[in-house]
Amino acid sequence: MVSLSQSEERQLIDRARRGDDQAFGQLVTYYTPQLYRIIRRVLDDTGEAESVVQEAFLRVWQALPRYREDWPFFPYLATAAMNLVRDRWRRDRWLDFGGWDGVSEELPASGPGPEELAEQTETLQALAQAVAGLPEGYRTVIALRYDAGLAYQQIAEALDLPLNTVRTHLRRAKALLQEDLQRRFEEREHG
Amino acid sequence: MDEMDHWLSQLPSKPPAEDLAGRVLSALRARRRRKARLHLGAGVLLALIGLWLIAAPLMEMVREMALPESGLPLLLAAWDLLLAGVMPFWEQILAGLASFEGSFGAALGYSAWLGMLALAFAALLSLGRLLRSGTGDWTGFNPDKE
Repeated sequence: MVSLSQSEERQLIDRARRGDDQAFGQLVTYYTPQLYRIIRRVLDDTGEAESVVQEAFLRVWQALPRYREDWPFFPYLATAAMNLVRDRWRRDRWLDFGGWDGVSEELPASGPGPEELAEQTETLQALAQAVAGLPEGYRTVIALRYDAGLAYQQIAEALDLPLNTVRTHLRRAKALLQEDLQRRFEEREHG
Repeated sequence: MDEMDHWLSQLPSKPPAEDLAGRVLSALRARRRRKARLHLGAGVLLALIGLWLIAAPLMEMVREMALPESGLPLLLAAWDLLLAGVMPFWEQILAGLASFEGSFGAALGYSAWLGMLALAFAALLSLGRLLRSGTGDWTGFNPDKE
């Protein structure tokens, strides 16, 4: 995929704000895979993830007249998408941070690191499975941090959470993942 | 950046369907067309209502005025007639619309004003379509928080 420089992105946004559909189309084409990756990490269902991606772009397009140039575009788009995910989850529960049963927040200093588990691909697949098994709240912060590359402050804005809470959730999510990987490693060793 | 950060930033992910971006764009175009149709429909409706409201007073005005007059005197006379119609309208509103039936005879003036208002809204709607660039003040990062 052709990368988009910051100035090119600004130009496209500016043109889109002036009603240039082609410019917005270029933004859609460029950011769809990235946005889908985050949403798909958070939502299990492909159709639902596609629907969220579509609706997120629609919302951003409608909000373009109010878009301020100093906001980075992708975090803005991701925020719109997370609002939609939140709407969907609100029916049941939003940001379930369950599954936290006193697991130490500190990552083990020693013990098998992920690279010791297996080869890179295998480790990453195991980690992806572990992420998929996280409670949705933790999965969301992981997706926003690592798939979207958002800063803590941007995650806090997107999820409407205090900054420190985001830090805590990320730390806990990583500790849960570490624990999960360690268990998988032990199962493999003994099985 | 710890080791887990390193691994998490390389997580494999499922790619989107190849036509997803295309479908998003189609949905955008469809939404835009729907919006344009709504604007057009509202504009036409307002324009028709405006014309309908303004037609009767105009004909009445033409009938009441001394027809030989033309040019500026004609316009001034029309303006006076409209103003004469509007003033009692506001007085009656303030009085609680108590004598609504009694004022109906002078309603032609109101009708003309309402008609012009509807036409003005219709024109504004059309203008709004042309000048789509917004100037709203952005109050937050979140597109859904306004």
